[in-house]
Amino acid sequence: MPIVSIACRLVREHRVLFAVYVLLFSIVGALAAGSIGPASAEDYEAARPTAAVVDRDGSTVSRALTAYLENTCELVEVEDTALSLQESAANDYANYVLVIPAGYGDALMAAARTDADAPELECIVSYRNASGALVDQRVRTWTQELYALAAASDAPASELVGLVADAQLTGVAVQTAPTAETGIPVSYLVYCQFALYALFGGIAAIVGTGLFSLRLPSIRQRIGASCVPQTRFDAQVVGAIALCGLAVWAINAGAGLALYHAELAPVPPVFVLLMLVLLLALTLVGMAFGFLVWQLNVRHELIHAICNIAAMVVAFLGGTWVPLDNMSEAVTAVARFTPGYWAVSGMQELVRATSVSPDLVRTVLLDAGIVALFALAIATAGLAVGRARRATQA
Amino acid sequence: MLALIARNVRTSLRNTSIVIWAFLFPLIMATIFMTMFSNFSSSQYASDIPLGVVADARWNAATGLRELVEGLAGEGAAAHSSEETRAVESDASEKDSPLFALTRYATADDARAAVLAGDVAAYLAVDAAGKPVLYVSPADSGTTSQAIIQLVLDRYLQGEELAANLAEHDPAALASSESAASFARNLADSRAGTVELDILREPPQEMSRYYYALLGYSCIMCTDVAKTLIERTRSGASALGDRCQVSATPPSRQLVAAIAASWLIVMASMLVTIAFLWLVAGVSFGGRVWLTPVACAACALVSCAFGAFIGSLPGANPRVKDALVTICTLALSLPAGLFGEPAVELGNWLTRNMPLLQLINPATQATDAFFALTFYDSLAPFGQALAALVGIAAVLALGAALCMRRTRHAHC
Repeated sequence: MPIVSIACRLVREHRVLFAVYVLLFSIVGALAAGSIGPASAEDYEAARPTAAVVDRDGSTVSRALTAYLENTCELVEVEDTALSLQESAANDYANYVLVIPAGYGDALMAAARTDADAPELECIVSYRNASGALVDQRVRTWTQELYALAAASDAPASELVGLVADAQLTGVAVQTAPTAETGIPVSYLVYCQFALYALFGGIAAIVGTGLFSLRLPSIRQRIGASCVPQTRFDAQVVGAIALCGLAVWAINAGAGLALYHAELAPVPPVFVLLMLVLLLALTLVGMAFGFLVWQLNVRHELIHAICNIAAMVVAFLGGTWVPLDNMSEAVTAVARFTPGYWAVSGMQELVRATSVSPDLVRTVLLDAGIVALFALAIATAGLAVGRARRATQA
Repeated sequence: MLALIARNVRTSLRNTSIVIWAFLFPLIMATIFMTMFSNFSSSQYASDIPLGVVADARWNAATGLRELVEGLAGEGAAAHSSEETRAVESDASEKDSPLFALTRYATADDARAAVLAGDVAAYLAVDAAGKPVLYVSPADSGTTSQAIIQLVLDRYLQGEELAANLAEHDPAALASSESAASFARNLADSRAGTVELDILREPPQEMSRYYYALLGYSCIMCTDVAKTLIERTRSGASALGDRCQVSATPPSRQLVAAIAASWLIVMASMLVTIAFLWLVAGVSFGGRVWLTPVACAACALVSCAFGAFIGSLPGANPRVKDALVTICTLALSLPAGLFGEPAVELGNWLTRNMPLLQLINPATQATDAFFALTFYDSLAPFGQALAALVGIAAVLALGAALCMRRTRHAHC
């Protein structure tokens, strides 16, 4: 086992890469998961997008509308300046910014009582998702209800907004469909999705860089002069790569379980186990890719570039950073030829899982198997490259 | 001096690592973004929300509700029969598709299986009292799509409540059948609406953020250039550095030449990326592309100062410095929003709650400089980002100068 020891020592000497790729990306994944908030509650809670109100009216109607938005959205402060509104719109600080023009309340009441169209409220709707459109619908519904009341009754605005507020207490009953088991929480899913970069690009970079010395001519000559056969040498290098991959997987998985143990408590252990299997399958791909990069004998400075670019592509095509649903069919079709797609697909099955069923286990294991097949294909390519190079050298 | 700078530029451009990271990597990433985000469908407007219904006898009996939902799904005559349908559809005038994509299920069990499998966002059933009940999956609860379905149904149910409250509050208001009909019509109509403001220089796109974040990422990644050149001139940092230090050229002149050369290289790298984004990817920079070189100059400055600081760190071996560059590139790029939607959310959260942290992050400031140039009318935010970049560069340069000041070595 001396080659394994040497290889492990070489990898260990690059422990700073572990810090960069494994720990840093674990932290990044945890931060990203934290930004989406806690896991969904058992009981249904309607979406509460962020909204801001710029009230230039200050009337009873505008104050009531603001109070309504306060009840249904998370209000954020946006100053009534052109730059603040532009910043909010460009950065999407609020999913919806409502600008209530001066005199709006009186104009609405007057329009309703003369059967005219009410003046329009001004708004800025989020370009990133439909949350802004949802708030817009809520605002339109509220104002239309007030319009209808004002058209039918001569009561003052202060009384009519009270009637609208009372009506908001009425709504459709929303229930959560009962399930036997709780699926994987979304926060843990995000963490695992971010782990893809560490497990694929990270392992490949660590392996490629760590074992680079074994490709140096002087060391190859010394090893070649030793009594270790080539096949045994390759097997021991593969063993070292496996140890390195398993170490990364264990660190990442351990950190994930430690961070999310509370949220994972109600989840059946089988689901968590299947998630770890998917991560292990990704680890195999990272190991295989590292082996391929090592066999390619690329220059030292190219290793990081190849691994990072490949990891970014796989992460994007896996839908880990941006949902694949929004991308074109061509991109989705290409994504199917990457391991990230199948790994994320399996992870999402576990999030949607409602019971421990053979079908679910089979589906997730099938996804993990496809990911492992990618690993096999890449490792085979690595072996072929190594064999071809040896043949050339001979 | 010029000869030294030229030599540094030449040797740097022969360094594969610098060529890859400073010039090729941003172009490759921009190409990947461009390919992946072509035909990216915006999710700004809700449409085709998959909604299941339990199409049993109760559903058929709930005529008003059924017509409303079928109308919003754009089905047959019902799509044009309901006033309420027209109101909600006109609300979402930007979209051509109907609001709902309706799927009928014979039994509640089938509908439940569909919602749990994620085939529909929610399913609707009518209870024994004739009231609608919405069911959602616990794994996918509280989504925007579900809230939109809920809002439509709320609006339907609130009509009766409003009429009852009004009749109680002002009995004369709905005394006649005409006034009651008029009230119902007004409730379902869309006479009080909103208009969307167009206040940005350029319509923002969900995916365009990543191009700006990529520029911030490139700016930090290019610290490698200055780091490498500084290491070549510093005694104790490399063998070449040791030789350079004992040459006839004063060390200060060598350092200035190294920093000037790295600034030129980073500037060139940023300009090449900008040119690619502008000419190939179609990023317009709000029609102010002529100002991008100013931003590039500030980015190059901070990149050089950062690289000089890392390159001059005493006692750190090259591997640690390489790792520092990688760690800083990844960690600082995260709040700039490079790594997808969660990173964008994190960046926005930091901006609102910990603005100082964003202010001292060069990747965020570099991203913001190009972002401000594109979207804001005023050039003040652009100027603020540039000032922040120059300030960060000054602090880092000071740190580098402290690290690079005259050092007495044990062997001297």
